[in-house]
Amino acid sequence: MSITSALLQQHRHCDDYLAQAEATARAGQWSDCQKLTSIFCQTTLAHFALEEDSLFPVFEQASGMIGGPTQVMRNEHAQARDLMQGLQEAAAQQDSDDFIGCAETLLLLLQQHNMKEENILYPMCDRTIPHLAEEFA
Amino acid sequence: MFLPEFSLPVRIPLRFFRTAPWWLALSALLLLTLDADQWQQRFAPPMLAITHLLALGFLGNIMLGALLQVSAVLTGVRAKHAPFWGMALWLVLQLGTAMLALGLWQMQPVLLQAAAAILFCGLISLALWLLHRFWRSGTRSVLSWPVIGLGLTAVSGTLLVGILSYGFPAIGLNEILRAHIVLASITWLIALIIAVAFTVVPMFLVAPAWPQALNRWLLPALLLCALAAVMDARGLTILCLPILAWLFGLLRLLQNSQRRADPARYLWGWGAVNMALVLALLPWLVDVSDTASILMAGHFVLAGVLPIITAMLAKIIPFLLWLDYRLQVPSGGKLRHMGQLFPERWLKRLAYLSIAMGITFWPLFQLTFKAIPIIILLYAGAIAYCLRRSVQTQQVAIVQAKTLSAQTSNQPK
Repeated sequence: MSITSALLQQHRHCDDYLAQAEATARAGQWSDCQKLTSIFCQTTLAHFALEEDSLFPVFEQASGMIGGPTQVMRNEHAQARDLMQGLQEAAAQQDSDDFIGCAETLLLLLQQHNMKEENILYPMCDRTIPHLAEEFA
Repeated sequence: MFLPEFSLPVRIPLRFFRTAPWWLALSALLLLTLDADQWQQRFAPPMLAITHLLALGFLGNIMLGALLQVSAVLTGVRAKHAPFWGMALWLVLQLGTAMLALGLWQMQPVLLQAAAAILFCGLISLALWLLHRFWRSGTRSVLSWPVIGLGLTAVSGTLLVGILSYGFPAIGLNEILRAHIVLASITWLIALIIAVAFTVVPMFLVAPAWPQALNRWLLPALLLCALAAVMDARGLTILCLPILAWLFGLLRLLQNSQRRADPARYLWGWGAVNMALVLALLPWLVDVSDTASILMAGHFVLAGVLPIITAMLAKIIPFLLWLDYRLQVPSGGKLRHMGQLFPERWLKRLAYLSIAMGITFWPLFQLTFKAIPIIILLYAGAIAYCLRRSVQTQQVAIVQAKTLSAQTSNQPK
């Protein structure tokens, strides 16, 4: 399995959890919503940590590209973390408008972020540091 | 590929989007002045003027704003002095639209010729520049096809004015008229909607990716079918085939969307079904009478295009404004998410209004046609209000965050 396909699967899992959390918020099922939001945040933060602690430093060292695409990705991770905090607060307060707003913004942000990673960064990683693929599989 | 760091300054597409409802409102006000007889004649000068106000003023502003933004984000295409050229293009479009509508209303050849010259120069320059940049960027962008359609529409419109003014070139008026309508509505308008849908539907509605074959072949097939219809009226019968292929692909994506309760999902489905319906009926109804043609055109715009535009604007504008806010206020501030700029309840109300417009168009046309412009006026007012409020909210939030930041940094430590 390549880095692209392994991390792409993680993206899909995160998308699924967020979409399910949004659906439960729309249905007013706040207990389920809080659980799914928590799972989504944990899964997504673990994915970000994997990238920031393992993938990006190795890629930067191998390619010499420091402050390029990986820095853009880190900035977007920071924006997503802010939105995740908003999402958890909205779920705790059972505020559906706030939750849907945070969820939609986060979805759009993550979708465009994922597109860049899947189309540009991960293929570059597959070419530069293929040995990491086994760790992510 | 999606590269939001290549976004244009948000004010460039916003200027086009915010101007569009004013042209729609003007079209509705002018429609109110027409009598029953004029409503039935598609080639009456006032009807031609209003058609062009709708096509160029309302739809043209939205489509060009979307094209500029999507070209920058998807393929990294940006002018060196984007604010200047964005303003120049905006002025060309508004001036050309006003002169063309006035020229058609009064049947003044000088105004028509001036409008044709302005629009031809502006739109052809834009189309050639974009095609050149796509080619240089090395990406096989689906956006090339609607840009070709934009160029063909500008050429056919200019030829039409040439025939009306000088009888040159020696082509039949009906043939060039059919060419202009087909090229404008199919190769430009529908092609751009399809190209935008290829990106935004999977992204905004968390749906699966489009099939590769559709992505690659649908727009060239649409262009070929449209050119066949331009060459020979019998070609109109095949025009619905690529649209139906797109419709089935779209409905499948919407079916598998993970955001099933999003109002935009219904607007995309409703709009696409109506667009395909009109194109499927077109070859059998277009030559029957003027009334049938006006009904088809009205249904195409109000029930087909308008719901999709509503869905696009309600997502693209708040997301762009939110990204712009985050660029200026990297963290914190009162604006946490795009729902504070354009709440979903606004989209729901706009959705009800646009679906009501589509459903009631035919009965109102038969029973009380003056009600149609009143509903259009309501929609124009509603969308103008939503856009204005979104921009105002964003501006206020930026000023507040910057003031707070300045106060914090000035405090003695």
